[in-house]
Amino acid sequence: MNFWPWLSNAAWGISILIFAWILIDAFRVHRDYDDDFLMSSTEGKE
Amino acid sequence: MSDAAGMAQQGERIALLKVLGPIHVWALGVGIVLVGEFMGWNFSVAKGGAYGSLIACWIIGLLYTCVAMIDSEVTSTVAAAGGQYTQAKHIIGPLMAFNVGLYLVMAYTMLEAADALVVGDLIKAVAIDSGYADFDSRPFTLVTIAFLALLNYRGVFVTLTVNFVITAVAFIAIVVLFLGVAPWHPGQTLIHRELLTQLPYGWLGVVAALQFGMWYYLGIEGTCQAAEEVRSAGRSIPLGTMCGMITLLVAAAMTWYVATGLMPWEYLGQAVTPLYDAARLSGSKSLQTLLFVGTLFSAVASANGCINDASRAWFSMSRDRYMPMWFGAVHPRYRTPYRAIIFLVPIAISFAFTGLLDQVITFSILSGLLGYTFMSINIVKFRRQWPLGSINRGYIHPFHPIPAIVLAILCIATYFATYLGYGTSLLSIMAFYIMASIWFALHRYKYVKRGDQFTMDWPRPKNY
Repeated sequence: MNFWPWLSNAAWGISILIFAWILIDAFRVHRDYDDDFLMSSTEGKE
Repeated sequence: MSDAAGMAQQGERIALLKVLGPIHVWALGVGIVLVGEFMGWNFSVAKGGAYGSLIACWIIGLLYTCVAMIDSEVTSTVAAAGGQYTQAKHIIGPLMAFNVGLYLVMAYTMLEAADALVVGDLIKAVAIDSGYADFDSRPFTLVTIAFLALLNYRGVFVTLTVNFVITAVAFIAIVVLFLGVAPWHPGQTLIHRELLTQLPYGWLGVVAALQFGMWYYLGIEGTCQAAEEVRSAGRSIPLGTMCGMITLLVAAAMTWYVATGLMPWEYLGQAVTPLYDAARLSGSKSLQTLLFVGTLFSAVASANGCINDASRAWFSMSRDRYMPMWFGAVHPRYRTPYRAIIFLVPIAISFAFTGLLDQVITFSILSGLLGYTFMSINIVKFRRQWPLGSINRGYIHPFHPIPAIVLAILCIATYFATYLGYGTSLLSIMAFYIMASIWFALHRYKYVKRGDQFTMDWPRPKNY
């Protein structure tokens, strides 16, 4: 099998998997936490 | 850093984690910039010849030294994400802050797109060299952005520790190349005597070269975006930034010396990968491989740092309602501005997929230049309203106001240089920021809580 087409397809696939993971995780956070809490960070304060 | 230790509990106020040290600040600043040594700086040779490029390197080095000193002083007192945006908010006002925030987001997002494009093109070059002509670089551009977005999403400590490693490798590659061409034996490998010429376009060419001289150093001011995540902003930011600037000055000098000693200016001025070409000309396969790895690592490190910085700027603007507040969220486990990171990814991808490296880079450079112009105004107001001794400064830059004046003059010269080569782009970008400012003033500012703008524990400004 030609190496480069395989590598290209792998790159597309890995990218899709990574973005899917990120979006699923972000959705879970949105579902499990209040937005008021997630956006409670204040400049200049801990 | 354990998950349990980092996990925020509902009911507390969430915050970014203070985990970074000076080496991370160095890695962030130098990481963003070093790719400019591997490609881009050499277009200054096309404008002004080899000597013109060297003069541009010194003059722009002076510009950026002023930037680094001024930025270090202000950031050592403003320990907040957003960097120059936060500075502008406190020192000048909301409209300037909005513009500066936008400069930062656009400069870093465009640079990220350009870096990812470069990674794709490098892999494409390898594929073509191995006989595979029909090659699409886009999946490799995409997987670069995807991987780095994931790294940034998962935590700043790992992101910048990885950046430290790959940036160090890229810098060492430049040093090894410099040593590998035996500069102590002029004429053996380096043939400056044969290759260097008079200024081909005179002093106007030197002025025109200033624009591309910025590629040696563009992005070092990005260190201040880490201000809210360092353990000690007063120490880490100035130390990391100034060490980074010294690193870049050394790297720029070595880069110029090696490249101009191996390639005639007519070729060097249009080379895509000048340091890699220099390694090929040295005749050493090891150097060639090392410089390929260095070029790749420098592009990845730059994109990594850009994702970090662009997201912090967008996050800070959103937290203040300059942009929709929804983007001002912090991930409860990873303590990163995750929504800002996610939002900017498709913008970077869409610009990267245009393949227009030249236009994307020009937008980034001009946005950065606008930010530097702001800095010269900013430090003068800062010193006037909060004189030395009135607030605690982690670093005080010397010879004020000379660096601010020098910075302003050099910015004007660089605008003129950019106008010579990219006048339409310059005017288009100015028009973009004017339109954005009108949108902010007429539509967005009503959402901003004016009383919450000033967050630093500073006394009332002098004469206020």
